[in-house]
Amino acid sequence: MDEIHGRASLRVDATPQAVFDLITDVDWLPEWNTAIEKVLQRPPGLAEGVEWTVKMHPPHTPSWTSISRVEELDRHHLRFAYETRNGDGNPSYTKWAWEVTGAGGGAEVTVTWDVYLKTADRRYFGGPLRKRQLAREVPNSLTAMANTVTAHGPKGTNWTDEGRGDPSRMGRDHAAPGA
Amino acid sequence: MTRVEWDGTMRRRVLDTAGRSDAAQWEELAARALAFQPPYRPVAGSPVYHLRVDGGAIMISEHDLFGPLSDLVTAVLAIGEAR
Repeated sequence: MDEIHGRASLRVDATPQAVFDLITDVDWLPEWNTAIEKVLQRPPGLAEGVEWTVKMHPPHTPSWTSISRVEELDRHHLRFAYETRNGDGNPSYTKWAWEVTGAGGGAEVTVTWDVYLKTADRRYFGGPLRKRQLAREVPNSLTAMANTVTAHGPKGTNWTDEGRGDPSRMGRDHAAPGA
Repeated sequence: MTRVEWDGTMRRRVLDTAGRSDAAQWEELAARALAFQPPYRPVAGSPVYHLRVDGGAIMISEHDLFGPLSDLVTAVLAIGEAR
């Protein structure tokens, strides 16, 4: 296995801007990304080319550090892309791309991941394991993200009227076509 | 291999490469993993691992897991048989 590709999407009952603000707030990552234990290093502000480092710790798996570098941050079109690599220096890397669009008074968030495995051990052992982990983690994280944005919301959130404060509406239309 | 959480919870997994079609890959990974063994430096609050390979044994803190050693521990935890 040389590459892994996946895609997941979710409809969220919040404005696209609120969803995008949460996704691009590094400090909030451990709140909704189920594989992230904590943020180890963060830039003063998010911009193309800057990096942040997190401690990854999926359940029943040894932890590792993950370094991400922003490749695209388009606040107008609500697109966010970055490349992630393991802090142990392994040349394998993952390209993540997020896009948030308006949908039915709420937001549709779509994330894709493209993993490029560059060593024999990662191709044979780590890749297949990570593929299964991502298939579980990403949909769970999207649901947690929806819960977070509707329950708390980042500063400046502009809530939609539809579904506001109604937890039963959160995470509806959940779909993970690539998972 | 045994993963020991800081509260004493243990998770044990065993992987026997005998008869596996991918035995060579496992043996190569184990050899790379054990080529460099960091000193045992447990960190409060983090798991430690007791790893036995062909009669040899090492103890390692999760903080010191990286490269092939991390790959080996992760793979055995996921694929190994609970005993």
